[in-house]
Amino acid sequence: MKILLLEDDPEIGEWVRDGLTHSGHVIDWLKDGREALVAATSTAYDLLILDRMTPGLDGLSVLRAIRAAKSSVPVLLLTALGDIDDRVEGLHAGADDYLPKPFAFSELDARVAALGRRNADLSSADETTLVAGDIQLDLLKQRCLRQGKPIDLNPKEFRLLEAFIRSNGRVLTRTMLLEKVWDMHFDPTTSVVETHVSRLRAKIEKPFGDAVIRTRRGAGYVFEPKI
Amino acid sequence: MSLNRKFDLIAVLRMSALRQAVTMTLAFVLIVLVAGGIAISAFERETQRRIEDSLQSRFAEVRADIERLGFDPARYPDAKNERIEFRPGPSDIVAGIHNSLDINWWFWTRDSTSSAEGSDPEGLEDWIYLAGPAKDGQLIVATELRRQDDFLQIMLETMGLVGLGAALSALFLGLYLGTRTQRRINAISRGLTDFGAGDLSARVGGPARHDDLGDLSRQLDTTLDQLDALIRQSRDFASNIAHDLKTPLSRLRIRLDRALMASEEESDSATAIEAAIAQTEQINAIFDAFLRIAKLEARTARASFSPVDLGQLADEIFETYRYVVEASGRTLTLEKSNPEIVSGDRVLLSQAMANLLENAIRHTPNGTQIWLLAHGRSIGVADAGQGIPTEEFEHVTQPLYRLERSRTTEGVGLGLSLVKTIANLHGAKLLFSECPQLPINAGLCVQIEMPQPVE
Repeated sequence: MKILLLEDDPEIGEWVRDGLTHSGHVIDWLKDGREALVAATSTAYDLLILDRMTPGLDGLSVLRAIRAAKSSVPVLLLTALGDIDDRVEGLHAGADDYLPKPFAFSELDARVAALGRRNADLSSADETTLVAGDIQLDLLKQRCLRQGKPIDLNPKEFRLLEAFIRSNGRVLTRTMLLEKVWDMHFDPTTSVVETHVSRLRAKIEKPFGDAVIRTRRGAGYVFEPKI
Repeated sequence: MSLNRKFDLIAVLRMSALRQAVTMTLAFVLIVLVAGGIAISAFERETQRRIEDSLQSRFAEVRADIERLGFDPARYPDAKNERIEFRPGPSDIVAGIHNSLDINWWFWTRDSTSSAEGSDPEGLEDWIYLAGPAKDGQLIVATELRRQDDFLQIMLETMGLVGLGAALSALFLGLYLGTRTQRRINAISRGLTDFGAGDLSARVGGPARHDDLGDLSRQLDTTLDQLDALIRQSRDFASNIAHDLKTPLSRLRIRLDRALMASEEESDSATAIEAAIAQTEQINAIFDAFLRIAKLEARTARASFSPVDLGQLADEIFETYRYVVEASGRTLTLEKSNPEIVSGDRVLLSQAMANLLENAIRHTPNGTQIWLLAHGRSIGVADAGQGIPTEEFEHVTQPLYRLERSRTTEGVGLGLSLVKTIANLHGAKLLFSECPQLPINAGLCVQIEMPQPVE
């Protein structure tokens, strides 16, 4: 993907640029908000990563200007630690995702991948049935079948599996799952995600003797159904 | 700047009471002067008119005599304050009243031994005369004005004395009243100065008089109380942060050292690095919680409130945490009775519940029973653990406060403090008890009691 990065801190900027380049993306790194706005409106990017506090023009104003110009390019907003209202404000201004600093690179990498995919296939948004290999999810009746056999899932487990299927083989981090499934935007120090993933595995893997959800150490989970 | 300590001229000159008294006295003197000026000029005009009247009537009297008997100078000797002269034949003296200082008294023939021109006789400057035709000539009657001046003199002196007396008493009365006020102002100023200099126990105090200064003193004291509490709180906060960051920071250092040693020995350093990253996340969590609390405390979030069904909220939290609690070897039970719909921030309330559940898991032994409660307008968490001493109830919500025995367990120690902040934001009460509603009657029960709806 071709990504515009607006970040004035040289160390963080370099780290993000090198990391995303390593993941196979092409990065344009700018340190000034005005330059970023000019670049974003004159070049076609697949994703913008904007830091909130930047010289010249802050990231939120760049985002507002881009959205005012009717551009629908996905935007990931980076912000300082602990600003709970910033998330609401950022999403309200038209950000697609939001990541508070400091973050693990794996978290950024996973979110960048998810946003790129979202841009690619908006068409599947109003499906009523999701299919991944031999797993079938009926979103209207909230029913799950594997190899034709019904699997009894509680609502949270159902939403967890839905998130996995929609991830299309990309990494889902613990934080992303907390946001998608539980709508929790804080870090519960307890193992909410781990517990539910292991319960889901017990229902969807154990009776069939295989593994569809893989734990990727230090990053999160990957859903790999058998085709 | 104090009157009581030692005499200091500059300080006295800066006293607003003194300035006030002096200004008022000056204004008073000015008023007396203007009023005196007006009175004197009115008096002068009136006296002039009276003298002219009496001059007219004297003139008429003398003219009648002359018409009847002819002019006999012997009948009109020079009196102390009157002269009369008759000049037969036509005259060039203009008829009417004359009151001029530079008048030429040449017509004054009587006793005039000097030249025919009759220059200025001595002592006639303050006289006025009336000239007019009588019989076959002209009659001149003159009178002295000096009586009037004497009177004015007395009046001026009297007014001056009265004015001076009044001004002096105004000055002293003003100074007396002003000094009393000044003393109270000085007390306020001293209290504020001491507080500003770092004495947090300093207060304005003073007698509880019910006037504006008394009200001001009380308001200032209330403000100082609040400032005192805030300053102490943030001091504790800062020292607690420093204290609680020491442990993870020194652990971080140790782990990085180990990673360095491992890479020098060309053995596996990844485990030590991962452990170091875990420590930075711990440090991060401490900061994050602090910033959340600070942000929430500064917020007036009523605007973001919406109806929250406490029963539904409890269901959702139960669904999320049931298996988490079970996986930890404890059991979670949902206890609902007539849960109500309240006005609040759903996200913050569920975070508060999450914190309470995490505390219950962290600080109870394996196999403990935990309850999630939703009763009426209250929502909370109870556990059948060992509880906490009742005298600790008010301390546990302080940031970073941890019971001595839990110092050894992991955790940030900000959980309850955040719960307290969220409760405060909702105007709710945070209640600690030993689970009176539950059959166990032991352990710890923490409940958020939402306020009654306002009409």
